Amino acid sequence: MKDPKYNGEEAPTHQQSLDLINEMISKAKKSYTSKGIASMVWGSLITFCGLANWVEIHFKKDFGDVWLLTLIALIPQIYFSIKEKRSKNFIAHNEIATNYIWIAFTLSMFITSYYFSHFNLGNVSTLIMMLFGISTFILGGMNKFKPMIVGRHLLLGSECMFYLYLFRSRCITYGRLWFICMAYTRHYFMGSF
Amino acid sequence: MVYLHGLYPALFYGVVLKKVWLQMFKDLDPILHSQLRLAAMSILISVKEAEFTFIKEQTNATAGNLSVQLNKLKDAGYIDITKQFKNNYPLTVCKITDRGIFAFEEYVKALRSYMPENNK
Repeated sequence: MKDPKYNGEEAPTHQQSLDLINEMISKAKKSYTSKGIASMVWGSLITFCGLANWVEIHFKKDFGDVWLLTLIALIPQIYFSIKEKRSKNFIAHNEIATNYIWIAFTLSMFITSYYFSHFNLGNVSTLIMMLFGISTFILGGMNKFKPMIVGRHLLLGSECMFYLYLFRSRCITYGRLWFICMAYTRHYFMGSF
Repeated sequence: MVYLHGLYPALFYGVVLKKVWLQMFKDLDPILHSQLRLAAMSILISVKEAEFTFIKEQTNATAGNLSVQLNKLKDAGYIDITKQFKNNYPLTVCKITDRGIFAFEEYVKALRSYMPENNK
C-alpha cells in the first residue's frame, strides 16, 4: 500500500512542510548511521592485542606476534564491506572523507612499519596505535560519536603511559609528548573535543 | 475631492506596509511547496547522492509519481539525474545541485518566517 499523501499534488501547510522536512532528514540519517559493529569489533581487537602485547613485555611472555590477528580480522571486514556496498543505494556526505582517512591510515601504517623494520628502530606497534587513534579521533569527531572520542582519549593516555614506561626512543617519546601537550592544550582552550 | 488629499499618504503607507509584509513573509517556492518534491529534496540534501530506489523507499511513493516529481525538480535545476547501468540493470542516481541547496535553504527560511514564534 503506497502512501496516499504523496499521490495528490495538494500543497502542505507550513507546519506540515517543516514536519515533513524533519521526518525525511531523520529517515535518511537513520539509513546512513552505521550501527558501529565494525568499529566495536576493531576496537575490541586492538584493545586485546594491545593488552596481550603489554603482557608479553611486562611478564616477559611470548605469544608470537599478536598483531597478526588484525590481518585475520581484515577478511570478514572486507567480506562485509563488499556485501554492504552492493546493497547500498546512496552515498552519505562523509563517506568519501571516511574512506580517505582509512586509506591514509593504512598507507601510513605500512610506511611506518617498513621504516621501523628497515632501520631496525624497535617496536612499531605503539606508533601504529597512535595513527589508529588519530583516525578514530577524526572519525569520532566527524560522526559526533562519543565512544570513539572517549576511546581516543583512552588510547592517547595509555600510549603516554606505555612510552613513559618503556622510554625506549627519546625522539619518539618527545614527539609524542609534544603531540599530547598540543592536543590537550587545544582541548583546554577550545573545548571542542 | 478633499478626501483625495488623504489618498497619497495612504498609498505611500500602503507601499511601505506591503514591503514590510513581503520582508516578513517571503513567498514559498512553488516547486518545493509540494509534499513529494519536498520529501525528495529533504532526502537529497541529507546525502551526497541517492538512487531512485532509495528515495522511493524513504518516501513510500509510487514509482510513476516519484519519477514525474523528480523530473520537475530536474527541470527547475534543483537536482541532477544520471541514468546508468549496474549489473545490466538500469540505475537512476539523483543528486542535489547548488541551486537546489540554495532554493531549499530559502524555502526553509521562508517557512520559518511564517511560524508564529518568529513573528512575535
